[in-house]
Amino acid sequence: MNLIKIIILNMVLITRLFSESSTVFQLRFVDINSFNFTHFEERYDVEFQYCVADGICLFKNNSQESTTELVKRLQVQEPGLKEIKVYENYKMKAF
Amino acid sequence: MYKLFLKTFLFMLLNSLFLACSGGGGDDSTVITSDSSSSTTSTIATSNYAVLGPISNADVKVYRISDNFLAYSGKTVAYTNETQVTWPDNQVGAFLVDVNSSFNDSDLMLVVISAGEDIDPDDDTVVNSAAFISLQGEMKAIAKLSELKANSVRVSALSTMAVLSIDLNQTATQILSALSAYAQNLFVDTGADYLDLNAYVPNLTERSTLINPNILVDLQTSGVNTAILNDSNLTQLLLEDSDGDNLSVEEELFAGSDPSLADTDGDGLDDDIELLNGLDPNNPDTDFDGINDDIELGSSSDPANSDTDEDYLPDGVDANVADSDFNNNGILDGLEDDPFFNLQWYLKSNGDVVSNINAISTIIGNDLGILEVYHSLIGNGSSTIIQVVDSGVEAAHEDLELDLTRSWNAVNANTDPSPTETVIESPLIDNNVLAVGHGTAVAGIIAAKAYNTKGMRGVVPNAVIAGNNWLENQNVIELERAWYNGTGANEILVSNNSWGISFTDDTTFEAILKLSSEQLRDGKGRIFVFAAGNDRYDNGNSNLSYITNNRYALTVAALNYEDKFSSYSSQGSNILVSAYGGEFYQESPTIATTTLMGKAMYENELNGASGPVTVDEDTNKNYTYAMNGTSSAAPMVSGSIALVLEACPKLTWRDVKWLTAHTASKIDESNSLWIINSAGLSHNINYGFGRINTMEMIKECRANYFELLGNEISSSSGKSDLNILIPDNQSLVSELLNFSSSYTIEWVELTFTSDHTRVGDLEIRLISPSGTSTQLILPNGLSSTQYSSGFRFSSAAFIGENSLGNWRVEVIDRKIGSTGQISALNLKIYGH
Repeated sequence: MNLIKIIILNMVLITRLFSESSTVFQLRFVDINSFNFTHFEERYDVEFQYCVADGICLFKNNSQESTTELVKRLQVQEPGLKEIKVYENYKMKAF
Repeated sequence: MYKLFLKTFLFMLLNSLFLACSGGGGDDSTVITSDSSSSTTSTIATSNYAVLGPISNADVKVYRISDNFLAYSGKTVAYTNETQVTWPDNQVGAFLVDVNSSFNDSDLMLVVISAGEDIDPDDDTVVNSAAFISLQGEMKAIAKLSELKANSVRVSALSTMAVLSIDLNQTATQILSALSAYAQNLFVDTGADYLDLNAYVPNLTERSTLINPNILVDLQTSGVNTAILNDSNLTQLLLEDSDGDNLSVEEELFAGSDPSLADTDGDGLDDDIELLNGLDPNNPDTDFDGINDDIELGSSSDPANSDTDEDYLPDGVDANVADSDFNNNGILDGLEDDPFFNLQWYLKSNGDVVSNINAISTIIGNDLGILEVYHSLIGNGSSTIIQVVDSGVEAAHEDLELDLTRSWNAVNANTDPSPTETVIESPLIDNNVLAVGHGTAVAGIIAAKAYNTKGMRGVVPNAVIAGNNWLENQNVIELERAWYNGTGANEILVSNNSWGISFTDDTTFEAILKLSSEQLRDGKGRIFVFAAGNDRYDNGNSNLSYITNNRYALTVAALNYEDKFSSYSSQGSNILVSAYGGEFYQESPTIATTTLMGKAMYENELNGASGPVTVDEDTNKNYTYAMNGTSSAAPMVSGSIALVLEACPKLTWRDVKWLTAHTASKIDESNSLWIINSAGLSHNINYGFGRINTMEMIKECRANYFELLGNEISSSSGKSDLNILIPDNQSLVSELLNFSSSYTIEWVELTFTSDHTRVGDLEIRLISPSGTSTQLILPNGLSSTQYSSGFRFSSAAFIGENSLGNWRVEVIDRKIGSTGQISALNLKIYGH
């Protein structure tokens, strides 16, 4: 594919620098209604931010542990959570 | 009298005759298959087949018409329990018949049913022995002996009425001709004949073919069924005109009008007047032009034609319905006042050289066919709201009208959705006009204003755009706001999303789409349209993105002016439909639309580079014909669906996808990747079901017989711990998944789990129980273990098929060097 065609197709990323936060992580609850938020926040020293779509939530990592390491630990220790990952803005491109 | 049967059995017909009465219609074999699968133990349960029947212990007589010879006499099975009345193993209402060998297959036979008990007289599908009613009258049908042998005859109220209407003292040819004429009053299909009367099994499923889809109810309410049961004078009843509209009960049954109301639709015109004038007595506005029949009849406006003067302006908005060129300038009124309309070959292709600098002519007929829609629909102004989630939409653009209540700027947190990025007017810089103005271009394709002396027009020229610049701030909460819970979200009909990514297994997108599809539009769901992607050069496939391959997404591929896939348009078994994206304006026609005001460039200003080129007449530089990509195709579909929803606002998101698949126009027929599924639909991973056919969608959803889809059903079948080695040598491995649930398919998902270290080497095919095979994925650029946690592929290719049976998954490693195993497969099927 040549560059000209890329330009014409608008397949370029908007060049805005999306903010990536190394302190926020995203997860999905298997059952959000039975999950003890307070206990979770206290145990891992994290702070609830907000949820979307009834079960996908963001937390801020206030601990000394890196968010990447915390995410790995949560993936092992919290079976009631899935799709745990460091949060970052999407990088979708216009077609 | 000659005695028949018993010793010389030529044949035995089990279930050859079923005593049924009225209902939906259609292909009986389909009905039987469908009902057998879903019936359990309860009666005639799953459908509404029988108003009078099944009839237990009925007397059955079969006569040869030519000499009134009694060929058979017997009884149907007596009712003893509910399991006898399930399809297709119905015993009650069916019987064995044995006929002497001296009869010819071509002999015309009269079947007469009498006595017995209707075990479900109110047709509520519940068998209650206390409610059984004895059949006092007779039910009849006429068929050739060969058709009895073929088990294709049903005796129903309709066949009874038909027999009553004809003179049996005619030749066989005359009798069949008379019956066929009768059938043509009942069925939508103009080729209907007497066989349709006898094949008829009420089922009330989608796409039934009766002119009066409510005939099941109408036969009850008009007393026809009661008359048969009670041996009242059916002929007399059918000739009655109890409401004084000069139409008999029988005529009203045919037309679907109410035999007890002279003016069924309340438009001020009696039913007979409507029928005499070719109007629909059940619809006060037969031609859907916004003016009721009584007002149009006798005026200069034709009540049976939504665009009386054929100027592409519906009568309801045309100030001069009798003059197609009011200002005598040689241009039809409905095609005026958009100076660059001639560049929009995708709306109306005239075979001209437009929208390219390579002197390529467009091809007449290769367009969206949208002008035919403009005869009746152009958008309803502020109530036709289409969302554009993109780089923003220029609010001040002269040729766009925005809904600023439902628009949102994700960067500035206000309702002006104009892009915030600074435009760099160099074609080779990322922030060029086409990039920052991408959403503005998309919006123009959908809803550039018509009749305003400016620019061009959108697919829905009288609609408004709810803009959103989410691509400029792609965080998840803004995505939820855009798709689900922004201000006024419930009223947005369609969301256009001409963006994406080559690979993602992030389920956040579909989690939000699920809520929107289930809740918005008062529970009918916003329609989410997505561009398939422009990654064909890299073997990209839209099935590799959970954004475009989830079941809520309506994914669109791109066509060029030749009605072939655009050179960049990504493939995908998940693709539903196609529209125009063009190629590159240096090569062949591209897409004319709006661009950021004042930012377009003339060809000589580009100095040979590529950019937002426009024509010299665009003196203010507000338009370009350089748009292309699946980004362009998607908004054509978004606009088309908005028009369909204007015509049929009750459609749910599932209905829209179903209709889209069933009506799309097959293009590039010689392409080798077309498959025809067992429901008769053609699918192609390049095109989905073909080019969107808006006019046909509208015709279908407006038809009297059209019914919304039933409740959604889903079920899964899977295997784990498989450990199937995938040979690294182009050898095929396969695995069967048995699917025990039976229903009509709308969407199929296969989650494929493998530890293969270079999954892009794999081709994966899915073959349905009926043998339909689709390529879920072809070799691509994925170079790691992206399927290790299970990756979900999807397919639209099986729409309309039945889910029951063995599904086969086939996997081939097309490239040498990496290996792995299949560890798990899970098939999930959605349908009704």
